[in-house]
Amino acid sequence: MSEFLTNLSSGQPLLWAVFVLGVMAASAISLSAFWGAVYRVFDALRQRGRMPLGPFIWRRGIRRLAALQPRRRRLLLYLQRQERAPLTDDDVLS
Amino acid sequence: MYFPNADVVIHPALLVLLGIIVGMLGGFFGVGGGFLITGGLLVFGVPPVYAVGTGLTLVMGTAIINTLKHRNLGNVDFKLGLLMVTGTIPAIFLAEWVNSVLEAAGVAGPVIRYVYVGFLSALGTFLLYDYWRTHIRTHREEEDVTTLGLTQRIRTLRIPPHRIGIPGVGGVSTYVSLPVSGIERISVFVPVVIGFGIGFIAGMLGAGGGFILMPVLIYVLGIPTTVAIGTDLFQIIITGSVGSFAYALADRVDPLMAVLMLAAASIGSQLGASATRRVSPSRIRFLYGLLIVSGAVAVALEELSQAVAGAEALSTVASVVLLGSGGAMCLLLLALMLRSKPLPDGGGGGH
Repeated sequence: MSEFLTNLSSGQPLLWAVFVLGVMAASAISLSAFWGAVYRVFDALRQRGRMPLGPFIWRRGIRRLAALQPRRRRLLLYLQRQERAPLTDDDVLS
Repeated sequence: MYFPNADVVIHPALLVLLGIIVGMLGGFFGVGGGFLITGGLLVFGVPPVYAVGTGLTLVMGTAIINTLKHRNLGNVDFKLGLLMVTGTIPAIFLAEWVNSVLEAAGVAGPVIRYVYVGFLSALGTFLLYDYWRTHIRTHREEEDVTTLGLTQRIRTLRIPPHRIGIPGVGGVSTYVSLPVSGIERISVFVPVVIGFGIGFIAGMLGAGGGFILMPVLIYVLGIPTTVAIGTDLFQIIITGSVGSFAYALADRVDPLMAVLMLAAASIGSQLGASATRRVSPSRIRFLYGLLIVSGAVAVALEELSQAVAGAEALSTVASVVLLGSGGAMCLLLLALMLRSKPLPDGGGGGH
């Protein structure tokens, strides 16, 4: 690999320059896409209150929690404000 | 770790650390960070020509990552960036020609370095003065600057011709709207001339020009700080590509070193760009002023090391000052990010 790079740089200057710019641009775009995906996943998890197991378990878990908590009304208001799982009293009490 | 093109052995942890610092400062301030990379690589023992070439290549890569990140945050005005580039590229070639003429006359080196120190000192002092004048003394809004009158005059300049005839299209107005920058109507010649001026100064000083363009966009065109940062980065991609292509043609780039540092810089970029949403625009400008002043001190030390016999050690001190201030700035940014909450309008604000 090292031999290939040194040969290319000394023997084919134009090809070498295009190769260097291409490698840098491709690496930059790939790294940007990777970190963008990581950022989105992190952001989604944070919005769901750090529940990494998906919306189904999230809803069930919240229902159970709401049934146990005496201040379920406040929890319902919180969920509605987040525009997520607009539960009713019946949902919680069932 | 051995780098075959530069023919040097460097511990990868040092390159990773430098990459993170450069990425973070680039994402936060919208600068390429060429001066920081070159200084750092020289301290690590990289030959000077490879330090400059590899640094420029890394600047291009980091600018791509930072521009993509800032585009997602809505901070890049592509129309403004392209207009400025049409002036920047010919100016860089003109500056290189002027440099070669000055060099042939034997006055290029010292003159350029003294101008560089003076320019950095004046810019840094102005940024700190502006912060003191607008926010400490008069407690004005975050995006208010001391040059509001100038920005209004620049924006309303009417430069002939007002229409240009293009074959097949007809008459086209020479005024454009730049909604991302919050400019309703401006002559296309204004950004082109600004791009030309920045390109010429950058070409003369042998820098990427990002450190000049960001304050010019804020204080002359009056665009919001975060948009200035994003647009500046877009411009750096193009100028950095031209420079790194020239150095790669002359085999003065070590791509392995550049890619390793780019991977590290991508982490720093995410942090730096996100920090612009959490730190107020006025504070960004203040911190930028501090960084520029420390850059001026480092360049002055470098100049002293060459001018005074037996003071070669000052060159190392200059690089350490540069890296130290960069590292300290990154730690400060991390502390500010942890302490603050996201700004309500994404940090950019507007006029």
